[in-house]
Amino acid sequence: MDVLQKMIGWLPQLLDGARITILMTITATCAGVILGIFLALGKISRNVVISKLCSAYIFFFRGTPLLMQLYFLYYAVPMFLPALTINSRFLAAFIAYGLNSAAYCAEFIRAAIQSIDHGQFEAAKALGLTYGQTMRLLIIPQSIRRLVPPVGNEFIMMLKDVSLVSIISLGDLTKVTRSINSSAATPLVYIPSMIIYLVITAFFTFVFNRVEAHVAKKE
Amino acid sequence: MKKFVSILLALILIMALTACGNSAKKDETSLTLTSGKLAVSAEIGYPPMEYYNEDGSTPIGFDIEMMTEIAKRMGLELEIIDTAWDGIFAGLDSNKYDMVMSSCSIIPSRQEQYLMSKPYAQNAIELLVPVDSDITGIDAVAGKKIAVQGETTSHDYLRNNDTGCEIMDYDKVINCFDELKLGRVDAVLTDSVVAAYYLGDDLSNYKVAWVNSDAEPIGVTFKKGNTALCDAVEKVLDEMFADGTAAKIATKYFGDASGVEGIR
Repeated sequence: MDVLQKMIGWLPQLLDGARITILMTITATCAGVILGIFLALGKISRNVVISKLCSAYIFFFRGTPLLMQLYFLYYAVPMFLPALTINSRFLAAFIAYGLNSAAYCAEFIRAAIQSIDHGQFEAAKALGLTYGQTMRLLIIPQSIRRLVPPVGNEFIMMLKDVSLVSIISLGDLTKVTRSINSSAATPLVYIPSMIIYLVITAFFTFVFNRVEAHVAKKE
Repeated sequence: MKKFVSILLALILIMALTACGNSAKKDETSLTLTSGKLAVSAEIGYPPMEYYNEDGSTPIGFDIEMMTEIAKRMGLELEIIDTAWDGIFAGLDSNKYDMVMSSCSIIPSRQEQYLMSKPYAQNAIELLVPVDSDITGIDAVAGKKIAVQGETTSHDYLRNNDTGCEIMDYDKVINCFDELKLGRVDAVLTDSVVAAYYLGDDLSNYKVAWVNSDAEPIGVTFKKGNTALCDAVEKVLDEMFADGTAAKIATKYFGDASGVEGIR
């Protein structure tokens, strides 16, 4: 009973950490998807310069550890380029996660676009639609249904990647848990903390399943 | 090809089996976890006490030289285990290493859970501010941002005293000083041994705004009840203080021997 009471005592702090975790996950994934669409379109563009630039971006952000990118943006960049100093820890983390997520999103968005039958592009061309119109009116709306599962996946990955923010002293759920663990000198706190992570994951899995069912009905 | 794969698998199996064989039970007659070896944990990245030299892989510092000498005099091979500060003492409970020698302040709450040696270096917490700062003491930090290393005695001080400041805690003390340099925090609260190192480095940039009147001398930490090893280490430390070795190491890292004089 004593144990349960202790766990309940930790809840307010843990939930405050969970708030930061959820907020960061939602904002960074949204930024990642939006930027990812442009990167995907850039990568499949017929303009070689744009295509190469987008490929290089994706290569860089997928090829280096997220932890290092976060560290680099927060601690290293301000030392070389003081003008690019970001003092808000949340904003710095948001930028690092958003940029990183965009690289991953770009790849599955590109796959979703390229999975649309090529005949549709030809048909659109025959009807006199421009490339922009074809993408906006035909291809992207159809891709969206195929995008829901990977976006959900990216979201859940992000939820756990956010735990790296403790290196810049941002109090997410993992950081709060580690603090309680050291100050209360008991590893018990990991149990309620992991349950909170599972509850968040379960909730968003449910949401994404509903969205998927909804867009499937429209088709 | 098939033959190659089966030979490879057999080799892996043999290696796995020998690895299991090696994890023998603790020798009851041995003073340490592994006979002939002294496993010491330190959070490396805490200049001038324990940090890496410029090659990034050789540990140096006051604690490192002290533990090297202790192991040598005890006739044991030294193994240094770089551990995150957060959770370093828990490793004693789970028998990951024999002792922690990582600028551990001797404080009652730590002594309740672990066995601590007599002090071997002077220390107190200090507030370090930029030279042009208007912070005059710990009573004048309301609304200011103060960086500390997480779960250190400096962190505890801010949590237990109502100073009205915003506490920013980092995994490494180095990050606290990065933040001060970048102007993201107004002050760093840290051990005087570390503060002295950064002041020496950059005397024109920082100054000490406050020193805690409660001294927090540094000791070696052992698992509760491990008096046999603690006594053996105490004996060696006494010798090192008597023959001037401790003062010599202190002079090398602190500039003078005042940090270890008259402490034992």
